[in-house]
Amino acid sequence: MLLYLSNMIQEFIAWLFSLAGLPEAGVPYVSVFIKAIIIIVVIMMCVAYLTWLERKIHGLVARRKGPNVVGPIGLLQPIFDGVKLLLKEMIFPANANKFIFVLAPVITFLVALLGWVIIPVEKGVVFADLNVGVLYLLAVSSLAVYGIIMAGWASNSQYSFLGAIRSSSQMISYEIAMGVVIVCVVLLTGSLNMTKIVLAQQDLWFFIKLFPIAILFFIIIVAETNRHPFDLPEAEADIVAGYHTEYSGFIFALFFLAEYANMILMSSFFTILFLGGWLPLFDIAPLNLIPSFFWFVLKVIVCLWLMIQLRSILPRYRYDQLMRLGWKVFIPLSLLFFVFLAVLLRAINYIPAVY
Amino acid sequence: MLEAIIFYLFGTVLVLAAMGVVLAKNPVYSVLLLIFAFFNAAAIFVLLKAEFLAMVLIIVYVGAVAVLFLFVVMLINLRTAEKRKLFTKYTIFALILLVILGIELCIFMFKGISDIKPVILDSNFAQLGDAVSYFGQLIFNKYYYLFLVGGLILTVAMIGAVIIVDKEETSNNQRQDVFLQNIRSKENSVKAVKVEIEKGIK
Repeated sequence: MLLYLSNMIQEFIAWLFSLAGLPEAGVPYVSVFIKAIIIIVVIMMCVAYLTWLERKIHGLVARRKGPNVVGPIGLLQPIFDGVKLLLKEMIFPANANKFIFVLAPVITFLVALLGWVIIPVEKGVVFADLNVGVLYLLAVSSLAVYGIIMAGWASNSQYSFLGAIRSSSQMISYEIAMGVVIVCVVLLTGSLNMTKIVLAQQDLWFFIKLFPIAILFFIIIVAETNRHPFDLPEAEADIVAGYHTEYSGFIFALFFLAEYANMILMSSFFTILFLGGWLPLFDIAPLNLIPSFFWFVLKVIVCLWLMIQLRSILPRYRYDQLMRLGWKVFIPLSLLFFVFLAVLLRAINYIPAVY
Repeated sequence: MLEAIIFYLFGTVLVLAAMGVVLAKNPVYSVLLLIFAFFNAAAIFVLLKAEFLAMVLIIVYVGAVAVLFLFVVMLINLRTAEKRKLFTKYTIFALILLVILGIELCIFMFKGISDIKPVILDSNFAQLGDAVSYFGQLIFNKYYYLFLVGGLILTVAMIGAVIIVDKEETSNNQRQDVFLQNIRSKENSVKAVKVEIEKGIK
């Protein structure tokens, strides 16, 4: 369905070009630009309604109603919040390094959007089908740390700096385990291409094939996105708001949007690696008639729901416990599983399913 | 044509950023410019169809090494760095290195780069058509010995780093032993005591 839409956009632009008498060679460039804008707008809408969903779920857990005043069941609330953030005054701390202070949220936001380049939402519907897709996503997610460190340093505030230090050591530690888990998936697929990873799950999802490690990966992505049980960088009980203590107005909104865009990105990553991307639950009549795009969205929403519900039902980790979990539990576990899997695959002479 | 334009764009920015690393007054700017230079180098790798190297460059250097640089520079807070002198006692070494590099560059320019054979582009590469799988086959079949030695060197370095950091525990170091914490129960940690007045508990 989406493939059809994307082809239609291309043809429409080609038609506009012929109407205006412009050279044919410009069509791919313009259509890439238009598609990029469409992706950004869709992600921003998703982020807006993710905040609404989050507040509703917290409301459900606490037996409250959540936002319900603006619009039907509070559906216009995110738009009002967005406008409020845009109209607020931006305050710069006295001794802040203004250039880096503004650059930091911009980089965080940019990096949160960059990962979307390689996420296939349906067969063939992907902005760039890179051969090194998984590595690209690892590279992009390792960049997210820069925005946070720069924000913490440029704010010239102890709380911000503590938050930045916590965040960067947390993200670096969990990235190692994340890499090892991804290598396990790559062992089974024989390819770093996202589309091929999804197609390799046609018989059985990797969530079942690699069961214990899929759970591990889910916990790691929660830690990577600085979400709740691991949200030490912005723990309000000890360091006010962490790295974005000094931010307000629009530049704070950029941090906020980036965090939620990262959540959706990592959920899609989990969906692609372990939940079979756009593939239906079972390949039988009523289920495979639903457009594959809806399966993808459904799986992403399930992941997001879990991540949000974790926030409202779990207490926060202490910092040394967090580090212990990352270095002494997750890394050895994932390495052990990796060695086990490699030996097993060698023993049964498994040939990776390269399509 | 377009490729050439992109290459020179990234190349120019790369050289400018590398100059900025040396010339910037604020060390934090130096590190940030270094990261920017890494990015441009990665972009040039992508242009050369070596996506794997580009991604590894970003993951390893930008994602891990440069973060530590930035950490150190920010933690020791060099904001009030003293004004730089143009000539220090190390200038002579820098000049010698500059001359050597200049001579090497001149040799390249006059001799032409055609003499240098690229290692990776042989017939197998065209057959597989995928730089990553070719790279993997090369490392794990042809150069597996070197690969193992590389891994060994890194392990030794890691063990060394751990030994340097690992110190004797001091007595007032309060650390939680998670295992002990988990096997703690009501029976072995709480007891009811009858307190005698004016004597207290021993």
